[in-house]
Order: sequence, then structure tokens, then C-alpha cells
Amino acid sequence: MLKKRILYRLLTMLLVLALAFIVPLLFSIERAVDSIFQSFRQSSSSLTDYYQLKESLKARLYNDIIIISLYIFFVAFLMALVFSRKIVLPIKKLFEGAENIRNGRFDVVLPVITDDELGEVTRTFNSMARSIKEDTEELKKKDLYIKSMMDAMWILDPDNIITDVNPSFTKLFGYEHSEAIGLSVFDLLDEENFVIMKYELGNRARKTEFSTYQISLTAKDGRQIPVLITSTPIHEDGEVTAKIGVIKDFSDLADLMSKLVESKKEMSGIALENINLYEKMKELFGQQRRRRIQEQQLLLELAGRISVSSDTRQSVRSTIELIRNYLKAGAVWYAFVGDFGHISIGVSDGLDESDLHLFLPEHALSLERAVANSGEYMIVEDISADKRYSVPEVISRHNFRTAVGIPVKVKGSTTGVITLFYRNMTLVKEEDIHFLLIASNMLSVSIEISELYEKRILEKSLAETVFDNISDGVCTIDTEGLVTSANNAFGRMLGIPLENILKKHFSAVIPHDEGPVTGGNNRCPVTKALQGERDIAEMQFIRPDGTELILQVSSSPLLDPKGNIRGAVQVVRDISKEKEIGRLKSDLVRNVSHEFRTPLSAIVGMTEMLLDRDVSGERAVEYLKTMYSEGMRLSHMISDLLDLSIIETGRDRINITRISVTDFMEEIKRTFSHALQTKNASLEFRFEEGIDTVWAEKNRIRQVLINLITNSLTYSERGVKIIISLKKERNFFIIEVKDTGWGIGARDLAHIGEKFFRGSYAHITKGTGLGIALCKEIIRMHGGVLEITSGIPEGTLIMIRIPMRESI
Amino acid sequence: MSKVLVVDDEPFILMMIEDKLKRAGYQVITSRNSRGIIDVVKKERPDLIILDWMMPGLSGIDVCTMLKSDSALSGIPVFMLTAKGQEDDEKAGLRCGVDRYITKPFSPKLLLEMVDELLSGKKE
Repeated sequence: MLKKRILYRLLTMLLVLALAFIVPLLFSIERAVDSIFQSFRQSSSSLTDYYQLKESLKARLYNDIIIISLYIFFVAFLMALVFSRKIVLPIKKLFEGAENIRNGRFDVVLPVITDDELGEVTRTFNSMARSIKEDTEELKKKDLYIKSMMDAMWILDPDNIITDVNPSFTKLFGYEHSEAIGLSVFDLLDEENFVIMKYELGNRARKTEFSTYQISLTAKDGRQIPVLITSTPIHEDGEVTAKIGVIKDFSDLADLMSKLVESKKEMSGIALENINLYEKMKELFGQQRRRRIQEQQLLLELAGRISVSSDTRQSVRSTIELIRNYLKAGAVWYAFVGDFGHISIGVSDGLDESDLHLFLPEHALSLERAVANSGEYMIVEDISADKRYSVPEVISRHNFRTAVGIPVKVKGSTTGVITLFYRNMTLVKEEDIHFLLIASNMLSVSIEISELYEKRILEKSLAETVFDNISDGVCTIDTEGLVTSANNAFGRMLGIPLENILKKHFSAVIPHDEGPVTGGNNRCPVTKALQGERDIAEMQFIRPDGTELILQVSSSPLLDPKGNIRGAVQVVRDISKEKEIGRLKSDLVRNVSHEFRTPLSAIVGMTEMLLDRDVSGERAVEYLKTMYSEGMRLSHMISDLLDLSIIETGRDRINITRISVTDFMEEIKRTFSHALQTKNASLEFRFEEGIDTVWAEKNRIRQVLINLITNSLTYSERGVKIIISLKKERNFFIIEVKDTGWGIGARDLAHIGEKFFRGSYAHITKGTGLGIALCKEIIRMHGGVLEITSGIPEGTLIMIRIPMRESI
Repeated sequence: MSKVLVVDDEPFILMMIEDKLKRAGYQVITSRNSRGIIDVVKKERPDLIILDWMMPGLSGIDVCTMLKSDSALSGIPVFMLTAKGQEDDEKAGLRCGVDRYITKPFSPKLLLEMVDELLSGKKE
């Protein structure tokens, strides 16, 4: 159909062309011939004219034909234009579309102009272009990915010719894209790698899996680039049509590997070179090791020996014995260096005991002196020959040669020197010196420890002695409140055996929170001490036997060096006596005041009445007598007090005189005649035969007897019997005053003789509480003693013992 | 005539007080012993009792306590003679019902004035 149409069109075109050509041609020829012949008739020419005509005709014909041809061309052109438009435009469009596609522009859609065959062709073209566009889009994405890959990539055809590479390939190997395409992979390989590649491609590429292999590729500039290639075959119908290879640059890693290999080679080279030296070293090391082990064992043994010994001498002995055995020295000794530089040989090993007395005096120990002074070890090659040193005779006699002196230092100063003597000239090795220095260090530590230990033992025993012998009770309490230690005085004071105190809780044994006797708050000092406070409190304590005590409890926390509380220490002091004395002193003021006030009442009251003339005559005389005797009583009392105070302060000296016993006793009896009579009492004197004279101070002894008899009369019922006896016992006079009075209770007896103590009957009797105190002092001044024994209802016995004197 | 009982172990004190009060018109009974004194009081019914604090046997305080605890005798005023001058002693004395304190040494004149004051009206 298409062909027929084109044929018709062509026929039409030919007809039109023919008409357009032939008609003007015929018309033109007609005109030309007419004109030529016309001119010819006018001129009637000859034959020449004929020829002339012919020529002119030809010329005109040709001339017209040219013009007409031009015209025909022009017309044909115009006609062709008209007729071809419909055919040419779609074809032109198709051309354009094809050109676009060739240039990569796939988004072309051609207009379908005619509904004929050309329209059909255009439609087909459009659909083709669309599918090409879609495929290309997909490809573009992949391409972009490939192009942007870090790793180089190639695509090989089955003949291993590169058909494509990515920019990374160019970057790595230097080949431009265009240069790379068409190269065989083998162009990129040197001989060695050629073989590898051949193997890889030959053996593995046939397989359907991908393969990875390491190889070196030659870059454009000739460099060998180690790479790791991962190759993936592309299959089509079971045939490998292409291979995609991802090429990883391996140069860094390979560098490292090669360096490693190089260094390995180098090292083995060195090792080989030094193999002998190494063997030698190994052997030496083994020896050294054995030596070290031996040395270590020895030092351990030494440490063991000297650590169990707290005695310096024993430590020294152990050390020098060990040193001599280990270093195979002929003899070793240890010289003590005293605080003031005095040097003496203390302990020796390797020398006969009998040689010991031959040790020469200090000046012979010049090596030791030098070591002690310098504090450094010294080696003398041949001590017997060395003029610088003088040696003890025992050394020269044994012909010792090499000597080594090692200082032993405690707290930086040399306290001793270990000296080794070798029988032969010996090269003292560095290791030996090393060993000696360690041994010396250990010894010095040991000495230091044993000195400390001795000091501690001494201090401890001293502390324990003090602890056990002080009169204050001391105990320690741990943080749990358990008593951890207590001294004898503590148990004695509380009247509880120590075993019943230790490990008990303090509240069970120690006066604690019963509250202080005076002042302060009521908190327990032990508890306070356990909280870190010091405290002191007075407390009442009742012993198991019922005796009441007033105790002063001082509590302090026990702190460790870091200041943590580890317990508490209690110091308990029995202040009952002090308290009692305090009480007695205030009693004194009261008693003295009372005793003074009674006679004063007589003096003051009676004087007033006399002045007021309330009394007169005999009565007035009686008043005056009473005033006088009461005045005298007052005076005596004052004397007693003064005497006691003078005697106590030691300002009084006794004045020994001869006393006639009979006269003296009569005088005493006279003094008491009135009082005895009043109380219906009896006073009896009993003398041992042959005693008629006593040497003593008469006034003082009288004072004693008057006081004692007064007491017997005061502390008794009516009809009391008082017996005073005198006897000799060895070189003493014994004076006994015995009565049948009230006696003295056990509690009073303990305090009697203390100044101002008045006892249980104080509220019903008169006295100053000074009598017995004064008597005791007077007897003491005579070099004697006054003892009181009493028991209810036996009364009281006072025994005075004074040394016999023949004269002043 | 008011009757005054004086108890003291010192004879000269008794002598002084007896002389002074008798001269002023009082009837005076004296005793050197405190033992059995309650019987004396019951028997004699004195208008005033002067007691010495410090006496052998029963002390002045003991006697005063006994007197004051006996409803029949508690009305009798008691003067206490004492050599003590301490505050706490006075307290002890007042606790047992002592009416007056006379501290030794004392003025017989002042004692008489105190007795007069207490017994005014009772004296004849």
C-alpha cells in the first residue's frame, strides 16, 4: 500500500513535471523558429546565409533550453517542496529522534503526524525510545554506584579483555577509562603475577562462584600494586559472558607484611650471629640463677635464724657462721663499735676458742677502724703484707691473706664490722660483696629489732611493775565495755579478786553510773571516756564486805596512733580518807569552837553577873574560882592545839630528863583525884620491880598520860577501872593504859589517832579530837610507838613502847 | 511563880542560870543529867525548859524531840543552850521544835530577858 501510494505520487509528479517542462519548451522553440525564418526571408541570402541561419538557430535553441531548464528546475523544486512535505517531515522527525537517542537523550516522544505507514513507524519509535529510557535509568543508577565505589573495578569479557573500569581504577592504576578498555588483564601483570592470574582465571573463573585472590598489578607508571581481587562471573545461558572484578588496594597491609618478613629475617640473622653468645649467656644465666637460689636460701635461713633470736649476740653468731660457710672464708669475726668509737671483737668463727684471749687491743683492729670510720666495705688483698694495716697476732699467725670488712649499720651509724679472712689470696667477686651487704643489712635490722625488743621488754616490765605497784587502782576497758586489764591495787581497793574483774563488763565491777558524790552531772565517766572524753568524778562504792568508800574515778579514752578510740583507762583512787579528813577538819572548827565556848561561858557570863552584882560574898568567890579554872581549861586546850601543831611541823625538840616513876605517878593521881571521885572510877598503877627511873621528857609523857586517862574517864560509864602498868621488854619501856570503858568500834579504830577524829561518841562527849593524835606524835618523838587495841565490851588497851635511855 | 527547868552537865552553867533566874523571881529546877528528865518534866510541869545541846547520854535535841512528841508536854517552850553556832545545827534544832537558841558564851542578862519575854504574865 505504501509503495502504491508512493508510485502514484511519483507518477503525478512526473506528469506535472513533464507538463511544466515540455509546454514552455515547445512554446519557446515555436517562437524561436518563427523569428529565425522571418529574418531569413527578408534578407534572401545565399548559401552562406543558410549556414548562418543554421548556426543562429542552434544558438537560440541552446539559449532557450538553458533558460527553460532553469525554469523547470525552479518549478520542480517548488513542486517537490509541495509534494514532499508530508513524506519528509515524519522521516525528519524520526531522524531527529534517533539522533537524540544516540546522544543519550531518551525522553523523546515524536508527534504522529500521519496515520499512514510513517505514523506507524513513529509510534513504534516512541515505544522503543520509552523502554530504552527506562533501562538506561536503571543502568545510570548502577553506573553511579560503580563510579562512586572506593575500590577499583573492572569488567572483563570472556577473553579477559577489559570492557569497562570505574574511576577508582583510573585513580589506582593511572589508566584513563578509554586507555583501559581493550587492555588484556595480562597486560597489567608481571611474570610472577601472570602465573597466579593464569591459575586464578583458568581454574576458578570457570566455577560459578566468585573468587578472591591476592595479586600484584602493574600500574601505568610501572609500580607494582598489591591488590585483593574479588571476581564474580556473569552468566548468561550457562555461559560466562563477563567477569566483574572488585580490586582492593592492599599496598599498606602488604608493606606491613613485607616489613615483618624483613625484620624476621633480620632478627634470625642476628640470632644466628649471636647463637654462641646466647648459649654462653644461657649457661651463665643458669649459673647465676643457681647461685641466686642458693644465696636466697642462705639469706632465708639467716633471716629465719636471726628473726627467732632476740639476742643480738646470737644473731651475730648465726650471721657470721653462715657467711663463713657460704663464702668459704678461713675465719670471720664481728667487731662491735661502741657509741664512743671503741672497737672490740665480739663473736668469731673459724678461730680456736683458745685464740680468743689473744685478740689484740683496739689498735690492732685497724681495718675495722677504717671500715667503721668510712662506713663503706673494704677489701685488702693481702692483709698480712699490707703495711697500712696492723693485724692481731692471731691473724698473722694463721697467715690469713685477703681480708674483707663489711660495716653493719643501725640507724645510719656503724655499730659493727664483719671481717672475713681468707687463707689464700682470693679474688672477692662482686656477687660475694653483694651477698655480704645483704647479710649485713639483715643483721643490722635484726640488731635494731632486738635492741628495740630489749628496750620494750625493759619498758614493759617497768610499766608492769609500776602498774602493779602504784597505789591507785588502774584498769583498762575495751570498746565493748569489758575490763581487759587491772592492777593489784584496783582489785584490792574494790575488795574483788582480779579474776572476778577481768573480762567482766565494767558496770558489773567498777563504780560507774551511780552518780558522782558531789557536783557535776550524773553521767558515767567510763561511758564518757569510751566516747572520747576525759572525765573525773567522785563516787560512792560499797565493797562486797560492806565497807563504804568514796572513790575518785578518772577516765580517759585509750586512743590508737590514728586517734581512734580503742577503749578507756580508769584510774581509781580511794579518797575516803581525804574526804574524811576534810570532814574532820570542819568538825574541828566545830569542836574547838564548842570546847572553847563552854569555858568562855563561865568567864563571860559570870563576869557579867559579878559586874551586875547579882552575886556577892562566898558565892562571888565561888564564881571567881570557876572563872579561873575554866580559864585554865581554855588555856590547856589552846596549848594542846599549839603543841600538836608545833610537833607536827617538826619545830619541837624533846628535852629528855630523868623521871622518878613513883613521884610521877603520884602526881598524875593527884591531878585526877577529883575527876575519879566524881565518876566513881579507880586508877591503879602497876610497876615491874626494879624500874624506878625512866628517861623521857616529863611534861610530854605527863601530857600523854593525862590525855589517855581523860579518854578512859570520858568514854566509859561510872565506876570505870583504869590500870596503868610499866614494864621492860628488851630495850624498851612498855607503858600500858587499860580501861573497862566503852571501847572503840572497828570502824573508829581504823581512824583513831587521825587529827580531829572524834568517833561514834562525838555527839555525847566532849573533846577536840586531838588527844590521841598528840599522844602518838609525842611517843614518835621519843622514838617509840603507840598502839591501840580495843574490843567491846573488853574496853580499851593502849600500849606505848619507848626505847630505854640511860641518860640524855 | 513560873517554874523553869534547866538541864546542863556543866555545874557552873546551872549555877549561873539558877542564880540569875531566882533573883528575878522564877522558881528554878536544875538537873546535870538528861536521863530520866521526861519523868521530872511530867512531875514538875515547868513553864519553860532550858536544855544544853551537848550532854552525856541523851542530847538536848533528843530530849526536845521526846518532849515535843508527847502531846501532854509539847506545849512547854524549850530554850536550847548550845556551843554550836552553825547554820545546819540550828536547822536541826528548829526541826525538833526548839523555841529559842542561846549560843554559848551567853549573857545571863539577855537570857533572863528572853525568859521574861516568853513567860510575861506567868511570873507573879
